[in-house]
Amino acid sequence: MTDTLDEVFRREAGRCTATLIRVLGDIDLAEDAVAEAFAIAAERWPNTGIPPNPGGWITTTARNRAIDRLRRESTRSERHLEAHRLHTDSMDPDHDPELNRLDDFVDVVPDDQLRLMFLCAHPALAADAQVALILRLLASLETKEIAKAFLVPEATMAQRIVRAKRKLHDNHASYRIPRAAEFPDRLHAVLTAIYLIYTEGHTATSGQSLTRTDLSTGTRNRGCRRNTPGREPPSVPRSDDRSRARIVDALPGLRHDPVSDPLRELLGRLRN
Amino acid sequence: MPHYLISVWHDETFELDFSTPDAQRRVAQVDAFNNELQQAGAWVFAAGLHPASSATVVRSSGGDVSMTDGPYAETKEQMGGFWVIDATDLDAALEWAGKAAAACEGPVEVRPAQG
Repeated sequence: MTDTLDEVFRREAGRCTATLIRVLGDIDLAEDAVAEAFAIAAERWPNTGIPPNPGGWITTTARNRAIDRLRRESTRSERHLEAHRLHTDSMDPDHDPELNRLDDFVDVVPDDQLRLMFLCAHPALAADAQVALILRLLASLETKEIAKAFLVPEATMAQRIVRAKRKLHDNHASYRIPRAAEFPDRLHAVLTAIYLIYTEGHTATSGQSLTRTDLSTGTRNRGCRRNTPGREPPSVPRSDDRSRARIVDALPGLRHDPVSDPLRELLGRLRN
Repeated sequence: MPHYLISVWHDETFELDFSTPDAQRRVAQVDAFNNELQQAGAWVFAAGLHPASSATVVRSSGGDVSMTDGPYAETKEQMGGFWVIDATDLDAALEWAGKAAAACEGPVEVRPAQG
């Protein structure tokens, strides 16, 4: 097992958070649950070793923690119902969270990320808040790193993120893939966020290393996986001679998504 | 289902002269929109308001109630009317708001109700 906890966090945290937000319908609860699951992992994995499907392990653990928390805090019957719904919700098909059998469920994860990206890019949010939310929830960048990208103090950015999350929550914003007609309004924020994730990987604002290949290759690898010959080169900066990041393919979940064609077409047009 | 307030805003001096064709067109549009809301089951309540100069501000302090000539906020833009609607989520509310803005030919503001 060559993975470290840190690598698992960088690779899986955004995906787990996206899935948990779908299941829980609450951004803060999902973020807390995923953080708690990683804390448990940090305690256990040094002894047990990293499980074969660390992302699945984190997601299941986070969900169970969230259920516990809803039960613990439930003073209202609404919360009880929520916990019951989660417990019976078919996040894993057989209701038996056997970790190695979560493969089916992992298939839906890319769609969760795409859905979350477009939720964060909701036009009811200010443009900088849209991008900041994507960076926070999907790229798991720290508030400090996001503040640096926007050239604002960390406290300002923290407040901006809290307000954006609160607005989505108070307004009952739905967690769904937008209709084709809604894409143009939201695409810009999504693309800006991907660009900034790549930039952060290219010249890291924190940590010991100048580059953070976990971020830049994460963006790039999604592109390389479906790299097809004859496509135009992308407009993302190069930090590696062997391959170029491809904005179009950097968006996860397009392959399975029935609405991906209009999106792909728009992205293509935007790039040209 | 969540409730949303859709409010209509215009300049404080704005007053619709209902005898003009312009105003009659808007009234007809708003009526049509109201019917659509009612048929969809999204209607809760709606009203157009008299101009902001008709407002009175009431305060209560230590059991004493005092009144002053309004409006409360001394801003250039004032609320001219509103709808309260039932919508499944923000996107549904925003879609209704788009139709509201078209019907009254001006900007509207959408705010979710608590609870």
